[in-house]
Amino acid sequence: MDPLSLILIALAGVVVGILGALLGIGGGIFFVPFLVIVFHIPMHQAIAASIMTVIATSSAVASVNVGRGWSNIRLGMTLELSTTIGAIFGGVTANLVAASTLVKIFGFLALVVGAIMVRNTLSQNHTETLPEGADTGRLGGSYYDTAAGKEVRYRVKKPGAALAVSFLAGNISGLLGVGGGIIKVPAMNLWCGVPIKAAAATSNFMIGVTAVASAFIYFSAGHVQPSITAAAAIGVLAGSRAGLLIGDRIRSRWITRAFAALLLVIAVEMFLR
Amino acid sequence: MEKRKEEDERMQLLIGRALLAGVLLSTAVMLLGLILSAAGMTAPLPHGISIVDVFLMLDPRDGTSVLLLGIALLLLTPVLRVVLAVVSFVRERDWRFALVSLGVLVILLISMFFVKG
Repeated sequence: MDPLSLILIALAGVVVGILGALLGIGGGIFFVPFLVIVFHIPMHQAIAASIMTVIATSSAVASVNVGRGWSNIRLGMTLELSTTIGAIFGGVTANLVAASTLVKIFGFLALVVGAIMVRNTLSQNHTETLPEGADTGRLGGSYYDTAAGKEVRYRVKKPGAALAVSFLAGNISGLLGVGGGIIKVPAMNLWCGVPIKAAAATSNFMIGVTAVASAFIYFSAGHVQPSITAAAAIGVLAGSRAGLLIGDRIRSRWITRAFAALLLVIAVEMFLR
Repeated sequence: MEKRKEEDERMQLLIGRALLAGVLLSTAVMLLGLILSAAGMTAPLPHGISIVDVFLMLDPRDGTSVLLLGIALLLLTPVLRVVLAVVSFVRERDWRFALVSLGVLVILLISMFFVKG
């Protein structure tokens, strides 16, 4: 790769990182198509680079989130048992499947993610808060919600369902190089009763470990292109950092809907390739 | 219960610092590798190597091997996170979650050493 292309990839990474922070999703769903469509990078290499950016942002964001106490380590660790196994299956499958097939599967995922994004802008945060001092169970947790000015306590309902969804999310992550939070967060919130802040922080906490499980497979298969991967990771890191600073202020439904529409275009483009 | 929360916060702080250190270190090494590569110090990409090989074949005059080291450090950062979780849960004598974390670590090590793409 020539230096100019690498700089462009890093800059694209910055944009993706900011987008991810603004939309509250990982940027992989935009980054993989970008590398494939604009730079004609082979699908497997694009997925490997994206997986690496997922690890970088998850680690960086988790290190910032720590002070807030939103992420639930016990719940995260438990669900990682199934996300990592799912990711290994996904990574192995990706290396058995032709690039053209992976591109089409990715197009389908872009469609699904776009739909979930629109749906999320329509639905409410679904949580039943336990009374003060109530038992949160083994997996439940609590955090102080500064916006509401009170402590939020919750139990985790249907842990079996959470494990199953986590397997699926890990599988998609390993197969297509995305984080998978877009699937886990609504599921944890709607089915398991985890407040959205805790679900998002816990999901982000899990994503890095999940991505590593498949990254080793892409690495040993020789799909990790060092210069592309490094440029991408550095760019996305810088972007997500910038996104965190501006993030909460301009999050809006219309931005989300605009990018859901962009995902539709990406889906069509990838189907037609 | 409150003790558990306190211990958890200490654990989160420790893990957060380790993650930040890992990300900063790997980014710095990747940047160095990119600069060396741009200066024309590159070797062809070796095929089918493992994470361990990356550390063995590090050559400061070869941009590609420095880039691979940065990537390997980035990959090992979440693994370190799981190791720290195991240690913290053991220190809290929370055997159930020490075992869960150990399970995650074993899965990652299997992926690292035994699953070939």
